[in-house]
Amino acid sequence: MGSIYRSEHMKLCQIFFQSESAYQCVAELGELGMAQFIDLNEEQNAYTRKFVNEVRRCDEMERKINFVEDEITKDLVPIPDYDEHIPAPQPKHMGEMEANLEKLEEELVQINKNCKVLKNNHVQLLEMKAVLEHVTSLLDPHSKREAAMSISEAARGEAGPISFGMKDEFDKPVKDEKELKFVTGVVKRSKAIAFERFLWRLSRAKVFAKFIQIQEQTELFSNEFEDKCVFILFFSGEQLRAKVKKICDGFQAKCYTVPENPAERTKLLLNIKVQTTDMKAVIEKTLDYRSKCIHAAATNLRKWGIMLLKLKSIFHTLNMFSVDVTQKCLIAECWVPEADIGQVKNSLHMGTIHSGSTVPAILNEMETDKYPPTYFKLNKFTQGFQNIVDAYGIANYREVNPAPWTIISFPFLFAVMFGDAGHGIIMLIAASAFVIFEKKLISMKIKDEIFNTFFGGRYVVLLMGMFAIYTGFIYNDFYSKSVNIFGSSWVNPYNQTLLANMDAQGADSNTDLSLTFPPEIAFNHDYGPYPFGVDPVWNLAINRLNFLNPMKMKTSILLGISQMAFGIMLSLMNHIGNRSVVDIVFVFIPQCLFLGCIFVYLCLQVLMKWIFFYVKPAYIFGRLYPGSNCAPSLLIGLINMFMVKSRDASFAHDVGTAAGKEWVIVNGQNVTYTINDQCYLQQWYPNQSLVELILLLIAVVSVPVMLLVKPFYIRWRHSRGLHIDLGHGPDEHGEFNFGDIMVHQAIHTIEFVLGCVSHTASYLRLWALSLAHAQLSDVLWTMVLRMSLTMGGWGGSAAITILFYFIFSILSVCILILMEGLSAFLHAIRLHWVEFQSKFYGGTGIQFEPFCFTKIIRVYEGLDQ
Amino acid sequence: MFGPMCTGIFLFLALWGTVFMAILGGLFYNQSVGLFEDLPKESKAMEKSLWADRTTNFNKLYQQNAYNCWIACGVYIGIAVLLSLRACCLVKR
Repeated sequence: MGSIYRSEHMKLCQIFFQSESAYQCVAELGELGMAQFIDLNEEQNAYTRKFVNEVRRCDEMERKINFVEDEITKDLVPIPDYDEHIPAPQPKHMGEMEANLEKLEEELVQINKNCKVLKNNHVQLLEMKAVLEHVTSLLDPHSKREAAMSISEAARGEAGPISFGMKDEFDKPVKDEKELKFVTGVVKRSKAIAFERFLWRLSRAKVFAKFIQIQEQTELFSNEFEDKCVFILFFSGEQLRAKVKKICDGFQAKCYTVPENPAERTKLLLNIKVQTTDMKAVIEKTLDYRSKCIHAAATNLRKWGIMLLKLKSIFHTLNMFSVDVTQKCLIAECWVPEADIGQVKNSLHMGTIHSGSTVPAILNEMETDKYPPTYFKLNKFTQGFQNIVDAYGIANYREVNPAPWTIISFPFLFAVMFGDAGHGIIMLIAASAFVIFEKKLISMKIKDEIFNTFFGGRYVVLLMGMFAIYTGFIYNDFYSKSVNIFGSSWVNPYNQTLLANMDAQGADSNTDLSLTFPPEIAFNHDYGPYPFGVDPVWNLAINRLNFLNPMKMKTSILLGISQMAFGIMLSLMNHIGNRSVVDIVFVFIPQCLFLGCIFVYLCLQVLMKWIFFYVKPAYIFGRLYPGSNCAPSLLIGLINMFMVKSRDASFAHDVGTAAGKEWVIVNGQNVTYTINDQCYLQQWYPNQSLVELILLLIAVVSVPVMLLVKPFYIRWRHSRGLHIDLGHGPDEHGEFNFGDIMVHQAIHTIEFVLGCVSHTASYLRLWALSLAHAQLSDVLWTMVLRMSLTMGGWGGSAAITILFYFIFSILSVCILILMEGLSAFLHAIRLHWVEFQSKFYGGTGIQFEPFCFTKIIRVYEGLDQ
Repeated sequence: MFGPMCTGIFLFLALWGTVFMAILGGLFYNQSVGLFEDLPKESKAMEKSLWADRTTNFNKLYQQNAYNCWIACGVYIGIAVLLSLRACCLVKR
C-alpha cells in the first residue's frame, strides 16, 4: 500500500537471464536497487564459481588503484570526490580499464625506480663534492706530519693498545711523510666516534683518522637528513688498505678516491659541480612529471574506484546465480517488493536492450514458504525515525511498524523531559540550518561520524526543537524564567499598611518574610485560569516545586498509560493481520481489561481529582468536602483497592447536625460536621468499594485467561491435526511442543502483568528529567547571569557582556542542550523501545538489503559503515 | 585563527546574544516582576525609607539594568558585524 504502517508485500521472483545480457540486466537492477538476490551457490566455495576469473581481475585492478592512491597520499595531493553518475562499465571495456591501470602503475613504478637511482647518484655526487672541498685542509703538511709522528710512535710500541705475550717486533719507523697512504670518504656523524675507535684498536693505532663535518645538505630530495662527516685515514704501507676498506664497508662509510695532485683535484671538483647541477635539474624534471601523473590520476581516482566497484559487485552477484545445463541461461532468485515488480521488469528490459541481445530476461513470481525480508519505503524525513525503531529490532514481515507513531511521540516525550522553550529555540535553529542547507551539506560528503549522526537525524532534531518550544510554553519555562503573556489571575490580597509594617519588621530583624496567597481570595475567579500553560506566578513562589512535581508526576502517568494502551491497540492490529482470533479474544481482551481496570482507572481518578477537588469546601458527589486536607490520596487509594480495605463512605459525619464539632461555609450556608480520621483515605464517590471490588476481580480473572487459553487451544488444534501457526517468525520449526508453548505464553503473560506496573513507574522519568533540566537551568541563571545583573551601575554592562558571551551561552549549549538533550533523548528511546514497543512489537524480522549501487558507493566513500 | 567553523560559532553566539539581551533589556524596562530578584541589592538606608522612595529606587534599578542589557546588545551587534565581514572574506577566498 506504499505506507510505512506495515512493511511492503514481498515476492520471491525467479529470473532467467540470457548469458550475453545477464551482466547488463544485473547492472540495471543495481541502479534500481529493488532486488535482494539469494545465493543459489552457497555450497560452492569462492574458487569454483563461474565468474571467479573476472573477480580476480577486478581484485588486481583494485590493488593497482590502492597502489596509486597510496602514491597520491604520499605526495599529499587531495583526492576530489566524484559527484556525477557513472554507469557500470561494459565487460568488453574491462580490458581497456586493465590496460590503463597497468600503464599508470608501470609508469609510477618506473618513475619511482628512476627517482631512487637518480637521488642516490645525486647524493654520491654531493658527498664527493664535499670530500674534494675538505680534503685540502685534511692534506696540509701539518696534518701529514702529525699523522707520521703518531704512526711512528705506534710502530715503535710507544703508543697504541697494550699487547701482552707478543714478540717485540718493531716495524721500521716512518722516515718520511711521503710514504704515508690515505683513504678519504664520508661517514655518518653518529658513527664517527665508534668508527675511529674501532680503527684505532684493530690497527693498534697504526691508522690515523681525522674528521670534518659537512655543513651543506647532501640529500636535497629526501625527507630524512642526517649529519655527515668527511674523514681521512692515514696509514703506512699498502697491506692496511684492504683492511681499512673492509672496516669502512662495515660502518657504511663510503670511500671516495681523490687524486693527490691539487690541480687534478680542482679540475675534478669543477666537473662534479657541473654534473651536480645537471643531475639536480633532471631530478626536478622527473619529480615534476611524477607530480603531473599523480594529479591527473587523483582527478580520476574516485571515478575509477566507483566503476571498479560496480564491476566487481555485478560479478559477485552473477556468482550467486545458477547456471542452466545448456550454459546459455543464468537463473537467479531474488526478493522484490510487490509494488515494484513493474520497475524491475522495466530494468530487465532496458538491460536487454543495452546489451544488444534479442532474448529478453524472464521474471516469474514464485510461491514460497521462505520468510520474506522486511522493507519500508522511506524518505529523508521518515528515515531518521525508522532508524530509531530498527536499532531496537527489524520489524517482522507485515508487522505493525512503530515508526509512524514514533514520528510524533518520540519528539513529544523528549520535549516533556526537556521542556524549555529558550533552549528549544536554539535546537530548532540548529536543526533548521541543517535542513535548509542540506543539499550543500550532502554534496560536501563530510565523513565525520559525529556530524553524520546529527545530520542523519536532522529531522528528528527539528521536531524535537519544535516540541520543546511547545512544552516550554506549557511549563512556561524560558531559560528557567516564566513569561506572563496572557495576564495572571493572581492578585495581591494584602493592603498597603500591612505590607509596609512587614517591610519595616523585616528591615529591623534583617530577615526575609514570606506571604501566603490564599487561593480563595488571591485568585480572581472571574478572570479564569491562565489560558495556556502553567501560571507564571509559580515562578515567584517558594512552593513552586510542591506544585510542579505532583502535576508533572500525574502528567507522566497519564502519558505513559496512554502510550501503553495505544501499544496494546496496535497489538490488536497485529492479531487482525495474522487472522488470529484466539489472540484477539483471549490475549488482547484480557490485556485490555487488566490495563483498564487498574491503570486506566487510576488515570480517571487523576482527572477527576484535578477537575472536582479544589481548596474550597463544597459538596462533591453528594458528600461534604471540607477542604484540601481531605483531597483523596490516589496512590494509597490504589493500594487499599488491592488490599480490599474497608473505608468510610464519606469525609465527615454528623453533617448538618448539632453534634458537629466544626463548621464551614458552603454556598453561603453554614454547615457543621465532624471530620473522619484520615479523611483523605476514605471513599470519595458513591459505591466506590463495590466498583473497585468488581474491577479488581476482572483484573485478577483476566490473568489466567491470557495465560492458559491460548496454549490449550493450540494443543487442541494439534490433537485434531489442524494447521498451527506458531507465529514465531523466521525461526519457525516444525515440531509441536506443548511445554515450550506453555512456557512461552507464561513468559509473555508475566512480562505483560509485571510490565504494566514497572513501566508505569518507568514513565515517571518524564517528571524526573523535566525537574533536572529545570533545576539546572535555574542554577545556570542564578549562578552566572544573576551575578552580572546584580552588579549594578554602568560597570554591570561589561559584566553582562562578558559573562553571557563566554560562560552563559557556552554552558547553555554544552550542558543544557547537548548533555541534557542527549540524556532526554536516551530516555525517550528507552521509553519507546521497552515501555511502548514491548506491548505489540516482535522485532525479529530480516532487513531487506537490495543489490543497490548507491549504498555500495556510500560505503566505499566512507559515508556509511 | 578565525576559520569558517570558529567564525560561524562566534557569529551564532553573537546573534543569539543580541536577541537575548534585547529582549531581556525590554523586560527589565517593563519592570517584570520575575526579574525582581536579579536587581542589585538596595542599600540599608533605602530599606527603611518610605515606600514611594523605594518604588522610585526600584524603577531606577530596573532602568539601569535595562540600559546595561542594551549596551551588551550593542556590543554583540558590533561583534556580529565584524564576524560577518570575516565570513564574507572567507566566502570570497
